[in-house]
Amino acid sequence: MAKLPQALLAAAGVGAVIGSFFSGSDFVSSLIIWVAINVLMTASFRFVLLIGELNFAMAGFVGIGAYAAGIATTLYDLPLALSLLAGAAAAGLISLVVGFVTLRAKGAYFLLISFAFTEVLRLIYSKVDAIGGNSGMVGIFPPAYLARFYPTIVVLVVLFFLFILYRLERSDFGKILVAIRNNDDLVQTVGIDVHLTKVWCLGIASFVTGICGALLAHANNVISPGDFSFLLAVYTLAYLKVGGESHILGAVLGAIVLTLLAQYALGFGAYEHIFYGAAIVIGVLLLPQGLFGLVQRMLPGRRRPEGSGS
Amino acid sequence: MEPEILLKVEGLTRHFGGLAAVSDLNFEVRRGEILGLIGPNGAGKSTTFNVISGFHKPTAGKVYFAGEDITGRNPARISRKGLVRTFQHGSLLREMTVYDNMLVATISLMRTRPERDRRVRETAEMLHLSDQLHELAGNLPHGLQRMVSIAIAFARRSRLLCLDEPLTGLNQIEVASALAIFRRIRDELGSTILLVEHNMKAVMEICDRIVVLDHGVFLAQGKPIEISQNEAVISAYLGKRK
Repeated sequence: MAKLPQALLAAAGVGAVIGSFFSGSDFVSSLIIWVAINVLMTASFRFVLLIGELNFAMAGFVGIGAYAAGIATTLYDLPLALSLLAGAAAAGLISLVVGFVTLRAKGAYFLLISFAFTEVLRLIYSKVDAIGGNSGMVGIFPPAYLARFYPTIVVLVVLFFLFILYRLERSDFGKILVAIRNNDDLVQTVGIDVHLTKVWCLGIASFVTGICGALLAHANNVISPGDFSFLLAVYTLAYLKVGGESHILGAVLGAIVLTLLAQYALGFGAYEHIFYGAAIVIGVLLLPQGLFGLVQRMLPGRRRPEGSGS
Repeated sequence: MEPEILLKVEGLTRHFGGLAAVSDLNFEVRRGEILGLIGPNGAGKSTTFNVISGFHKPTAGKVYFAGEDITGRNPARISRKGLVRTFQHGSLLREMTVYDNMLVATISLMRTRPERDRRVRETAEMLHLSDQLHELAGNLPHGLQRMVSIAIAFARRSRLLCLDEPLTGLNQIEVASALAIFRRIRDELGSTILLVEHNMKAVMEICDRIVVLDHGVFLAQGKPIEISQNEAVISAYLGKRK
């Protein structure tokens, strides 16, 4: 039943790995990295949407991951793997605390709190001189002997965590998350601590988000506070809406398609954001189930997946 | 040995602002019985359920379950003690399959998937839901949705089932089948049932005892036949004779 999406994902993954390995041009390598990171960010954003919350704090946690990894690499000369882990752990642990305090709020209230969190973090980065203040941190490079393989590493890490998120969603834990979105009071009556489950959900998603930030920092070599504003979450929302939120492959599709199309939007200069706004509007109006829904309808004889959409 | 009194409500009071939804309510549920909790609209039945199951903290009073004080505990902990409730409206997971609805109910109870799977299939069998296991709960007809709500609660095999208007909107045949299932749950598995219900015929038929509330105050209790002849109860429902 679920074999086709897995096969598609595997095929895309193999393609990306091969492509990233043999790509000669810097531009293509960078593009592969951006696409891969956006895919994972969208998947982690969607993971919190399983409990029904739009997590704009995601942009903040990308920033925490990026800065933590930047500090680990530039100040402490940690190996790449440990830097990535530092970014993930920092984002994950902080999110557990933030989630414990804020996840009593739901819907619009949580959205606003998570939005504020992201913006407050951005202001903090710009005021702290030890991490570069407004001008940001520079010199975050992967070690020289790995630089050649960095696109491949990014793709492999992204595929690994996509697989983890997919398995988690299919597990009984994932079913609890969807159940909470459906009816959180009912989930309490069957003996499940809804609040703690939501905190863990955010923690797992933010751990993955932290990895994204760490990968991004090592790809761009420079990070500055402006990279992690709420707009990052808005883009992610656009990827997800266009791709379709009923399946993790929707996140993958949306991020790939929009990231590639956005290369043209860069030419619009200051009007670039119109592109994302238009993408959300078009996605919501014309493709309520997103590109994934479209693909599904074109494949005959397949039922709608269980427990989909919100 | 289980205590003879499974649930004891003592001096229960709950205010919303200046309004007393329930005042100084006392009653008890004996092990193995089906107790009906009835009263006109606004009598405080749902508030009583909410306080017992931990969704509201009482303004005053105590709730004891199997001899243990559970007043003000959170709903998940109360559920794990063996007291499970349903909701009047939409007590199901609409976007999930009937199977997953029941599966979620067993997760905090059992460790492994095979155990959970067996429990889900047994429950479906008993509630005649085996053919609908892979339908989305929200797509089922109303009568079957009601059955899924009960199945979620029943999948836990809790000692006390608190059912909030489980028969609303069911036709006569569905009511009869639901009542038969309640009896089986009690007789074969020894569960105790606390039932809030507006369908008087069904309440009179199935309950061992009935507690009547009116405007948040205890009005009467007794066997169905006693309640149906009680002057105070009749005037609460129909208005006082002039």
